[in-house]
Amino acid sequence: MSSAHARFTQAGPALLLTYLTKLTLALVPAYQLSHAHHAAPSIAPSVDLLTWLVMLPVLQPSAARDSGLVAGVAMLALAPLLRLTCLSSMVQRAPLRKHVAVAATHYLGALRVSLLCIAYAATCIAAICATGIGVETALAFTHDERLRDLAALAACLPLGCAWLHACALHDVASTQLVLRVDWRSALRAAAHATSLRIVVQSTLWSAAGAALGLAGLLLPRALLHAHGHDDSTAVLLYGQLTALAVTLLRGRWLASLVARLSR
Amino acid sequence: MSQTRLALVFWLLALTAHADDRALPRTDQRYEIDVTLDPASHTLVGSERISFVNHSQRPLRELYFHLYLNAFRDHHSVFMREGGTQLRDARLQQPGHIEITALHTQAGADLLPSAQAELVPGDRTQLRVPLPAPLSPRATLVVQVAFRAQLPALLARSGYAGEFHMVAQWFPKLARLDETSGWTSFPYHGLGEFYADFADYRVRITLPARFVVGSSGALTNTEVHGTLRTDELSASAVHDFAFAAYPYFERVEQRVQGVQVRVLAPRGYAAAAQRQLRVVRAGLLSLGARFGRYPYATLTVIIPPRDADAAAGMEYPTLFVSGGPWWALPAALPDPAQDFVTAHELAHQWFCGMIASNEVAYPMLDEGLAQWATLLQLRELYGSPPSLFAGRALPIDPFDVTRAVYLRRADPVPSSLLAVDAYRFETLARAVYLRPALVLDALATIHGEERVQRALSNYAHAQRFRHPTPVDLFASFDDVYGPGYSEQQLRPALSGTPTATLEPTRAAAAHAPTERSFFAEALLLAQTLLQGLGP
Repeated sequence: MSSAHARFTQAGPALLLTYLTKLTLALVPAYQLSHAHHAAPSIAPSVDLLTWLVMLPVLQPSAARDSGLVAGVAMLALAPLLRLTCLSSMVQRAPLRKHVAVAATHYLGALRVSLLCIAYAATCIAAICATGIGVETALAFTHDERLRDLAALAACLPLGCAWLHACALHDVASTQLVLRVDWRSALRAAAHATSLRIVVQSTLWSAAGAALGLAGLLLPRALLHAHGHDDSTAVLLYGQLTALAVTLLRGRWLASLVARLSR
Repeated sequence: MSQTRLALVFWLLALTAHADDRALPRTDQRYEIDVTLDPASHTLVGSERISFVNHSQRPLRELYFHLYLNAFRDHHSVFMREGGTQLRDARLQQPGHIEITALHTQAGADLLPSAQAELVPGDRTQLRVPLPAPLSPRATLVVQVAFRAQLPALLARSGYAGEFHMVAQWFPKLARLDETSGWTSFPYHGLGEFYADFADYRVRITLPARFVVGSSGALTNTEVHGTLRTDELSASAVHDFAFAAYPYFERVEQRVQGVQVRVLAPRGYAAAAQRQLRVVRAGLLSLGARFGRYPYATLTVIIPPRDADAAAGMEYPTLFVSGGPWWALPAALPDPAQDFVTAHELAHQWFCGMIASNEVAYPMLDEGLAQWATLLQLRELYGSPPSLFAGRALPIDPFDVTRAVYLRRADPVPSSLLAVDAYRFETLARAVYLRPALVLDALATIHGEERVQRALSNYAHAQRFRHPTPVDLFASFDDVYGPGYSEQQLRPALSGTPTATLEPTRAAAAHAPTERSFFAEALLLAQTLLQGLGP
């Protein structure tokens, strides 16, 4: 039985494929966004991406929005395939093309698993939102909008828990799908296996990935610009290293999950 | 411009400001109104005594009243036909109206039978009242009016939402009497605002005692009779009077340069009220230094509750309705959601309140200049370099944002010098608000900020408590920039002449350099977003 680290190393090519796919899909909206920035009225000589994003609802660069939408849909369509490829390569050592073939075999099952997890999350969210609206309405007599909003917000706090549980369930079910053949039994096994411990671990790994991604977005400006540099190559390199690191972090979590569920 | 240089400009402007900045002019009109608000039926029943002098050069044979609540009577009014509800994205749910039930002179002549109520077919927002005998120049006429009004469910400026009542354009008011051309009366236009003579008001408002009132002018007396309360208010040298009533207002007050500033906000809005008070404090000092001190003793800011948002963003003399959510960012951070409307409506205390141009004929004179003054206030509030987002980490200039909004659509923008009925809702903002502000900013960039400031300061001081036209504005610019400058540069730019030097264009904007790292950052952002969807 391999350790999580060994499984992670074994999945290197699949993770690289994942990274390259995301890079390829991102190139189109990034180009359109950059083009829109140049073609649209310039806001300020020193404007940077995040500042400009504040303006996006105002500027509405439709080409960037549309290409972003296309890239997003393509990513959603490819996601099960890439995820299963990674998971398959963590389960057994084989050439990458064989893992892609395994992933393709399970593609429809993975789609079903994703849709059911989304349905589960949506049901939880709808119920919790209804509670929040109920609380807000019930407090109308106070004529205090802050109190009503905060109470509604507090009532909606379980939303986060439901979402995190759905995410963990999705990862566990995807892993079970590679370990078993049938998506129904994978989902049933996942429902049993998704313990509080797994949810917490999944949350921590996701938080680490989000923090890394955020740092990737913010730090180039803080570090490079603060020192008077405007080196696009350095920013590009830094950004890509961050994106790769986020993908690897995600892979490391999936590897630990495979290791745990294979026992 | 550095803050030190700005301070120096203010100081110089303050030194050269007229010594009688705080003096209010004497007016020859007086309204004494006694009104009862029934918040359960949302009705007003009142009487008014109007005393006015014929300050025109010819005998008056008629009076014109504005009955602007009739704009909300049905879908046939000019206001509704011109799409007045689009501005606040609302629909006519519960109509409102006003009816004069008695109208006679002090001598007892009944004026109502001969009055004409429908001067524009389908619209009853004006009333023409023939006089039994011509009123000679400089002669005084006193009329007694009784009226009954139904407030509409809030859809534009006036009306009610739950227990919140914004009582604006609520009483029969005389149209403006021009010295040379006679009455200037028009219906309540869909995209237009108001125009009237300066007058003194004494208003007695009776309503349930639990209601808190925020109004134009100052409270002079309060009497409680059982469950009812009567507030007596007085306002001098103002061209309108409005009030808001709501039982759940909380009050934040501060004295700024002798002005009692009062923010009335719903429960839970303490942070927003403090934030807006800070904007008003800074604005009173800044705008006062530029355009002459705010001369009134009080200034009231109303933050409406969430469901009364259609009342937000409107100015009245010594009173304005701002907007924004109950939460506010800490003072150190820019918060346009709280600051922008407040700064804009405060600027209207000058460009509308005191410099009372005809807002239907020349909307640019109040909205365009107020927009420019708003952006300057935001620039000052947010420090140097200015930033609308997250402090200095992400610098962005309010004028740049305005330029981006102005230029985001390629279709031509009509002249900024047209009357409101020439605009469509979609073009009004760009023509009337944005372009004038950008033209003045371009002027400041090309010829220096000090000269623009001087031209507008001269205009503001010369037209204080007057009713200027664009000719007066152009004359102030010609005084500073040289004879003929306005005709050669300013008017073409405001008219949207493509070759005008000061006209903001895409071609000019495209020359601004952009960061080379933009693509790299855009790529990373796209990847990060895809990460959320990815495996």
